[in-house]
Amino acid sequence: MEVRIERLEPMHVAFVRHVGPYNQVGSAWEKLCMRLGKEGQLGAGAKFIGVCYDDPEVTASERVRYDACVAVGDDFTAADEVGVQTLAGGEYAVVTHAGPYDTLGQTYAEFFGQWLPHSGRELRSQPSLEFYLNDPDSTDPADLLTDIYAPLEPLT
Amino acid sequence: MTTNAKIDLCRRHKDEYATPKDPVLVTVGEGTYLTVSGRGEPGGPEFTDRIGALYGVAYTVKMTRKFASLQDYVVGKLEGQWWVDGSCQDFARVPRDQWNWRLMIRTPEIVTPNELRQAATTLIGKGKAPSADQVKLESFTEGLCVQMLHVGPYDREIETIARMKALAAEKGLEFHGRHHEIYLSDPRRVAPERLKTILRIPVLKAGR
Repeated sequence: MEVRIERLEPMHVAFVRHVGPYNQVGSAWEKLCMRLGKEGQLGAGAKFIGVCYDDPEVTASERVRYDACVAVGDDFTAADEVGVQTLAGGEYAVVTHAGPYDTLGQTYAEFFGQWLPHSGRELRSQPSLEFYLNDPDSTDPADLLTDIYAPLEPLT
Repeated sequence: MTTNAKIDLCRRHKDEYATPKDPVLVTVGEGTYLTVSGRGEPGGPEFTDRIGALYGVAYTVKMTRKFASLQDYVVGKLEGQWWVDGSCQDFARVPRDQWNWRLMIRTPEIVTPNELRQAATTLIGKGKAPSADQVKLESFTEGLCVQMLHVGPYDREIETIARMKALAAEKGLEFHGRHHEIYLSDPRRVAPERLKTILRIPVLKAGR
């Protein structure tokens, strides 16, 4: 497993919260992208990020929390179901998952179950992030790319 | 909310967007595209600016329609036509800063020029894509073409084009239109040897 360490700056994002199984996050993305798209916020450099608060192996699927997020400027204002928040900066371990979203769990299992215990690093008490690098509407599922960011405690 | 299924032009025109690693003949009917044109090196400042404008307009139009419960559709893959002044075919021998290009995203014909203008105004107003007003809506027909999936770096296309040319010659045809590429992979994320690109070149009966 190829893992890299990256430092992220804190990121201001617009988001829509989804509570329920991960395979039903599509409606949160639709609400978010409709609002942002019609306001001209979805250009070529738009960053699409999922915030994953819960481990579906531990939390009941109907209570799993997930935020569909897009990075926006400080002038973006929350309205209706679209909120704003700042994602934590700091060091993250990053792995790229290549393939369908429904196999992300296998990459998480290897990342957190095998790489992390041997890395000498510890997880920070913050959610993992997923950066979606292509449009699932027009991309063959086998060609989808997702960067998984696991937050790390600073080295002492 | 509309009950119509989302339009996916790549699925609708599968013969044009799912092509083998061997050259084939395809007939490409009229297509409507969001387009933006320019000149210069791929990846250069003008090229990068125009790609930003094209994607910005594509997603702003789509999401504005979706918000208004109008017919939804899939934003297609990036496509590009390439040519040099005075010839359509020998661009590979010309310095890259003299390459002409037209970047395109195939779009359902239900999208109107007025929707484009509104999207450009929104994007420019937000400072997101200063060249958004350069994006046009154009329709054209390529007709009979040779087409092939190229797997590998863009600078190895010459080998694929030679195979396409050989098929054309075998069929009594010759290249006559703009070199057209359909980008199935993102070169920022996929290793050069794994990049997948459909190459398409219109053909005519030889000697005409």
